[in-house]
Amino acid sequence: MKKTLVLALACGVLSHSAVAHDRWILPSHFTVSAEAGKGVWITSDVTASNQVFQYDKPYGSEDVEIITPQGKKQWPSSSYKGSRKSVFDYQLVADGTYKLQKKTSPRYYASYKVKGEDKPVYSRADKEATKAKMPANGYDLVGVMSFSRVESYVTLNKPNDTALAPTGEYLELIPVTHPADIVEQDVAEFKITYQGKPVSGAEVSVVKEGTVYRNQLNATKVTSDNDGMVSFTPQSAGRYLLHVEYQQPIKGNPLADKVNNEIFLTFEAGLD
Amino acid sequence: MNKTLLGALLCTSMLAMPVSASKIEIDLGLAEITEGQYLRPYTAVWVEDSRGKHVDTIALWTWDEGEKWLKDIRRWWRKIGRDEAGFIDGVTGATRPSGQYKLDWDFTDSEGKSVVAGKYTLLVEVVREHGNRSLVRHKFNHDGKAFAVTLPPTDETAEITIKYQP
Repeated sequence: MKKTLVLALACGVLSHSAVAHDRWILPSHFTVSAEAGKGVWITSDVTASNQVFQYDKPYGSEDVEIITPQGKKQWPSSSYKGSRKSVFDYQLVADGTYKLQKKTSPRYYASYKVKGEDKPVYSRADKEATKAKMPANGYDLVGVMSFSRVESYVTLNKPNDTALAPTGEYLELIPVTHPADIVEQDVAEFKITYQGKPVSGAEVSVVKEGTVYRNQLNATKVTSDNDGMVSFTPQSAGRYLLHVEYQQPIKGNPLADKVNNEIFLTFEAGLD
Repeated sequence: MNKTLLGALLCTSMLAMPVSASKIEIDLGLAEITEGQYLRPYTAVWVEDSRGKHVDTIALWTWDEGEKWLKDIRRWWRKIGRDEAGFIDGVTGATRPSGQYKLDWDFTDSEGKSVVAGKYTLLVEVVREHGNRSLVRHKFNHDGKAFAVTLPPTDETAEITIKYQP
């Protein structure tokens, strides 16, 4: 993955569709019912792949966090890393909506040019650190802050909104239509924020599962408006992978000149 | 069932008690399945208003220990089942086999209050393990005028007759 990112830097863009693998957490069930207090086990695949939702690479599940309907952070009861996917189990006990997410933090990259060399030099350090170690004849130093979220929501009995609350950090995808209410042929709406503020121009792509068995990707593409809002209508019931990409130059940050954030959300559109 | 009997009694004595006879009568057919394994279906019958909001659940037929499967009555679960803990005990009954069943709705919501005149939809959702799911809808006007309609069979429903005679 890091190699891919470096390669993407080399191309001057970080285009999701062109280079990076999709990543996701795919729960066995998005919607479950049970007698009060009985508890329901959910198992989830965590994988990186270029076919939705065919697992390919074991994107780790040991660092998955679960935000409970009360807003507490929990961890999987067990996890497994195979050769083609990772898996974790978790038991839902309290009624409500749980957020499943990969633990995440920003990463910094930088690149610069050297006189006489065709190709830029890439560094896995931030701009400041790269500047310190860069040769004296280095120039055109550019730093990038990269941040990604990989998330999904599951609901036991009555949905609630606590786990949907944004943190105000980096890029976030806030469900306006509750994930448990996304239904075929019905509008689903989300709000996209960066550092807690709505952002326009974030690119969203929504792809239904089963891409390996069809000739067209059939991605629904939408862009966030001035209020950070995006909406789309899943045409049929099923499981979908939603990807958000947001790139923006930043000023006054010694570590980076631009941010490059993305989010992967797995959700289901229910039968009408 | 008591409610149905009462409804039937009220209907037969309609001339004597015109005010109390204001009910929609539903003759619900569950399809006869001749192929494969047959397990009695999960069935929900309910009313939504013109915006798709749950008004009243008329019948919910499930297994006793089966809350695990309630989510599979997909639309009913989303519209009301998941929201109303305890509500399930109030209207639920055992699963029924293929056959005709008489139900009625007295134009009241789940709290027993009379609903206002307007557009409503009667929904029948039938889900069978190892079988199909059928969602049948019928829109009607609650405006005091008589109507009668017979809905054709689907995978999991036989004919459904819906009648209103003020």
